[in-house]
Amino acid sequence: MAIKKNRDSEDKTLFVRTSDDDIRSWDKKYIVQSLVSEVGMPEPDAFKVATEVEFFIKHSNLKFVSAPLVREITNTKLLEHGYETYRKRYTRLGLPLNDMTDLFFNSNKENSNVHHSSEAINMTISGIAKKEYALLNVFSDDVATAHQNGTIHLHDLDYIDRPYCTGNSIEYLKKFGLVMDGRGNLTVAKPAKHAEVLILHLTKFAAALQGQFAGAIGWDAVNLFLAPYLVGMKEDKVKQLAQMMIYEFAQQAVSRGGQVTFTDTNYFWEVPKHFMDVPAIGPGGKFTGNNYSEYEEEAQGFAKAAFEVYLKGDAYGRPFFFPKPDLHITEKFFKTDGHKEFMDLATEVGTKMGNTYFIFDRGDEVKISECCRLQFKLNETDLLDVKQPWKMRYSAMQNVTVNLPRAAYCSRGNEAVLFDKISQAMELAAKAHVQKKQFIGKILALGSSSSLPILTMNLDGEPYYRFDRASFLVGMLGLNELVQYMIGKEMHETTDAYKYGLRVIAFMRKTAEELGHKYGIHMPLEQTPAESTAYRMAKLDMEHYPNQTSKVVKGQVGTQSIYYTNSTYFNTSAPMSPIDRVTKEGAFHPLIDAGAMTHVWLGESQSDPRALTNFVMKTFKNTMNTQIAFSPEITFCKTCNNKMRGLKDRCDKCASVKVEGITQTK
Amino acid sequence: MEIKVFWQANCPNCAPVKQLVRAVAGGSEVKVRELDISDIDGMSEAAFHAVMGTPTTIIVDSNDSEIASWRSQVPSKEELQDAINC
Ligand SMILES: [Zn+2]
Repeated sequence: MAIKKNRDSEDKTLFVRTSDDDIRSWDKKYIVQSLVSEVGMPEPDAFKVATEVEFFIKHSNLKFVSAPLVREITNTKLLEHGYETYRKRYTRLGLPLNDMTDLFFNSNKENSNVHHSSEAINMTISGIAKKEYALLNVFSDDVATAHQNGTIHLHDLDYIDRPYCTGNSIEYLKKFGLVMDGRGNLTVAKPAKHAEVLILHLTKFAAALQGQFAGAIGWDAVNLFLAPYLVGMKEDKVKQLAQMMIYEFAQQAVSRGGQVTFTDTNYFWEVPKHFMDVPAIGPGGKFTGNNYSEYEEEAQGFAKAAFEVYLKGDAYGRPFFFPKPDLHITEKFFKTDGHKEFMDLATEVGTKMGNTYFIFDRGDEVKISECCRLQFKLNETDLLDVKQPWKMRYSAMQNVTVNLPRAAYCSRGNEAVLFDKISQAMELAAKAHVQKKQFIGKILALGSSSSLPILTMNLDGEPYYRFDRASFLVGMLGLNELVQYMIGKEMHETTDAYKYGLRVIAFMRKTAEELGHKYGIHMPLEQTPAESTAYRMAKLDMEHYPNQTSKVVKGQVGTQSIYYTNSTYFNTSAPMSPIDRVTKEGAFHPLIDAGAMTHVWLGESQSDPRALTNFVMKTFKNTMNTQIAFSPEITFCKTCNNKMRGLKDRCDKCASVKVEGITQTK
Repeated sequence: MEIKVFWQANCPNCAPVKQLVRAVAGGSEVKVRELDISDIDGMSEAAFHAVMGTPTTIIVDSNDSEIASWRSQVPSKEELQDAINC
């Protein structure tokens, strides 16, 4: 809006720099119009407010005013008149000039996956506006307040207009080819005839999906679904393809906001039972006439090649961070030839480079893993999809984390009150989910003209995004500190403390089920990925509940580096043997349907790979743990490219201090 | 010593195991705890003892350590008695 105006009804003219790059002379009718159309204010009231704004501006001796300034002044007037609701709807979103300058000249160090670049700045700016929009206009006041005061954490508000994460099947690309934009306006590719092309379709489509989801993009049974394209291929050629796939994913840091695509690739050594009788799709998108049970050899060849690539690392021998390899272990794994050797390889990759995620699918469970630890357990309806694997597209719409220590502080040590507080927080999470569902539903209802055109693309009789099948995740943070506050011991210290933790999670699981029924959504528990929530909530609690928080918070009290223990983890520095940790943390896993994991830290003293292979096998057979990964500590010398175990300050070969320590966050 | 019996609704073998355990423990000092795995106590105890199915019967000492267990199985009267007497 813009205004040029006769000051004091004389010849001085006031100009307004408008939002659409124009300079107009002042006219208060623009304020009236915008108040009526944007916030639904009755015209006489709007006129009154606009007149006061005009009076104020007239007397402030300005030659130019900007549209944002006029809006700020108008908002002040709205507040003066007690029009709080109108004021809220009249909000302008954006960021202060100084913050923008900072973005250009002080690089963003917040997210380790983001490299500072002009693209990254775009992402940050859009994120700020979208987040503000979410808190003002997507979520109700009680939900937004609970997020802002740290009772709960709504993840990825900067991508409010996208679902959270997704699991996909290469079969879709094999059958329908590549429609990059979902609309078919850009160049469309037919189903790939060659393995190289299929891999390029895969990596490009993953990047496109990253533009429509906030978080991870997962791919199920990658080695098995590639297998029909690998028939008769020599080993070195397969190796080259595996290398190409991993590098293509790992170096795709030119897409969204200069980020690497957060990709999970799932592997099976055996042909899992549920895919045995499924007709295989081969080159050109045609059924090969064989079932997937016929492609074990090719699938294994690719899996082996891929893990060898991971073991070697990049040009400098450093690990690939993405795509993450998730190795599923089913009962059948142990009956499949070569499993021992392959497990040795996968364990070596895990212990030397940290890449391998071991996912344990015990009994008849079928799981596909998505992001850090998100898994979708397939139910009976989902299992019907297995016969048409291109249908296997799953998603979590949103992730909300509950601040467990906060609930403990507010309970004053009373368990009934504690459970009440947790259930109130979870109810807010459920409401947040319903509100996000409505918002995304409204976007998707626009069909192919929506801002999520890949999700609305319909090539198989239903949209790519199966809206009604989405899950809504509830995570938890700081169970260990909750327990410590309630009963005075951490979970690793006494059996009572450990059992208390189990009771809390059992309560959360039951509550999630009940709330899911009440609100008509599937709401499984998930271990919250680490990210910054553990710090954010600890800081907020230290500010508002300093006496309680300082008793249990981890890190250095009195500094900025305080945090809560992640999800249901035990204190990471607790003196526990790896098997004890995997067993005890694993007891929580069956209660956490949408995914849980334990990481096993390996310092300098990495034991021999055989012993660790044994460890993985034992974890499968003797515990309820559903996922483990190793976190080795590695240091690289930037001067001579020497690779050392453990975290070092200087190179042990050339004594350079230009070294980079790597421990993977899981 | 305590006998924990994990049960759930729609489990045909659960009721007989509960009856059996009550009968065997009756009159002795052994405590019996029947745990419905769908409620909070049952669910958390099941997680603690890595119970994967019902009926499951676990005998524990005063430290909650397992002395004997029948997982997704029906113990015989003799087996139960032997375990209690040890
Ligand atoms: Zn060096």
